[in-house]
Amino acid sequence: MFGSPSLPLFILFLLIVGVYLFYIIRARRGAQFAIRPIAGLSAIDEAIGRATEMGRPVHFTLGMSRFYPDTFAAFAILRYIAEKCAEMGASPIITNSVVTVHLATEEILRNAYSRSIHPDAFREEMVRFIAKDPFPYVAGALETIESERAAANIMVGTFGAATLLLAEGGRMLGPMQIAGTDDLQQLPFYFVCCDYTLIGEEIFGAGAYLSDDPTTRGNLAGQDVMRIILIALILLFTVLGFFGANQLFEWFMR
Amino acid sequence: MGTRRLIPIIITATIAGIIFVGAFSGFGPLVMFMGVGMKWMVIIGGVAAGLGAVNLTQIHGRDFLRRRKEWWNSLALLVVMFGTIVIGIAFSPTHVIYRWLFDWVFTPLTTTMVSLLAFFIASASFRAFRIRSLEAGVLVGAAFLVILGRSAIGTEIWSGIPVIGAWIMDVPNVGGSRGILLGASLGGIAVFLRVILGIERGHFVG
Repeated sequence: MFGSPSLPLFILFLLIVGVYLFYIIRARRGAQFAIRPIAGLSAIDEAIGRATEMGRPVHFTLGMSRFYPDTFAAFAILRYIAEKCAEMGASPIITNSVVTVHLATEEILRNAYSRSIHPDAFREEMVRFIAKDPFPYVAGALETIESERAAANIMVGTFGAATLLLAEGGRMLGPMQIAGTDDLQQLPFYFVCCDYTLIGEEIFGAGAYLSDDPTTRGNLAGQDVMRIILIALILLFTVLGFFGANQLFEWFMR
Repeated sequence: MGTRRLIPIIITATIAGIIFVGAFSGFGPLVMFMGVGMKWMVIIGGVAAGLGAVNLTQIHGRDFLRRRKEWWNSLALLVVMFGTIVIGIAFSPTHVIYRWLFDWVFTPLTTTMVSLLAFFIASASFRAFRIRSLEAGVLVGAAFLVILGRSAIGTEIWSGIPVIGAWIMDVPNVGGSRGILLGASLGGIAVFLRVILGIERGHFVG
C-alpha cells in the first residue's frame, strides 16, 4: 500500500471515516445508541470483584503490540480496570513486553488513580516491564501471576508463538482468565484456555461498552452501519459477478 | 483541555495525517518522511529500552533489598542483566564472551520454553476436543476430517476425504475468518480516528 496510489481504497477509507464522524457528531448532539451485551467485557467486573473479595491482585497484559489499533483498544480496557480497581481497592498488576507501551500503561494507571478516591494507592511497582522477547516475557508474566497469586488474568493482544504458553500456563495457575485479540491465529488458543474470549471487533468496542462516553458509542454505531454497507457491497459484487459484470469489482480491487 | 494534552494530540494528528496522505498519494516527499518517521520510532524505542532496564532494576532491586519471597531470583536477574550490559559495552555484541552468553545461556533457556509448547498443545487440545456439546462435536468432526484429509491415510481410506477437508478449510473456515477480519479492520479504523481526533487520550501525560 505504501507509496502505491489507490483511488478506490482512498474513497472507501473516506466513506468509512465520513460515516464514523457522522455518528460521532450525532452522539455528541444527544443521540442514544444501544450496545449488545458482550459477555467477556461484562466479566471484567466479576473478575475485579472476585479479586477484591479474595484480597488478591488482577493481572493485565497487552501482548507484544507496538501501538497498533489493538493496543489502543487494550488501553481503553486497562483504563476501566484501573478505575475499577482504584474504586474497589483491588490491586492491578500490569506486565509489559514493549517499553514504549509500558510507559503509556504507567501513565494510564497513574491518571486513573489520580482521579479516583484513593490517589495514594498508586504504586509504581504495579506496572512492570518484564522482557522484550515473547518467551522470556511469558516466563516472567507466569511467575508474576503465581508469586502474586493473581485472582484474575486479563490478556488483550497476542504474544506470537508464546500465546498458548501464557494462556494455558495461566489456566494451570488457576486465576479467572479473560482474553481478547484480533489475531485469527491466536484466537483458538484463547478459546480453549480462557473463561471468556473477546473476538476481533469486540476488543475495539470495549471503549464504548465500558464507558458512558457518547462519542465512543457513536463511533461504535458508525462501525455497525459501515459493516452493513460493506456487506451490501459484497452482495452487489457477487450479483454483478454472477452476471459477468466484473468491471466495477476489478476497478475496486486494482 | 490543558496544553500538556493538546500538544501530543496535535503532534499525533499531524504525523498521522502526513502518513495517511503519503500512503494513499505516493507523493515522494511524504513517502520519504514516512521512512524518516520509522527511523524515529527505532530511536525512541532504543531510548525507551533504557527506561525498561530502570523499571526492572527498581522492581527487582526492591525485592532483593527487602528480601521478599524468592529474592535470589531478583538478584540473579540483576546480575545477569548488568553483566550482559557491561560485557556488551566493554567488548561488543560480537565478542566471544557476549556470543557465549547468547548461544549457551539465552538460547537454551528460550528453547526450553518453546519445548514446553508441545505439552501445552497436548493439554489444550485434549480440553478442546472433549465432546460436551453439539458445537464441540461439530468442531471435533471438522478437525478429524481436516487432519485425515491432510495425511496419507485419509486418501487411502476414501479419496473424497481430502476434498472434504479442503472444502472445510477453504469455505466455512475462510468465510468465518474474513468476517472476523472485516469487523476487526473497521474497529481498527475507528480506533485510529479516535486517536487522531484526541477522543482516545488516556495514555497521554497529565
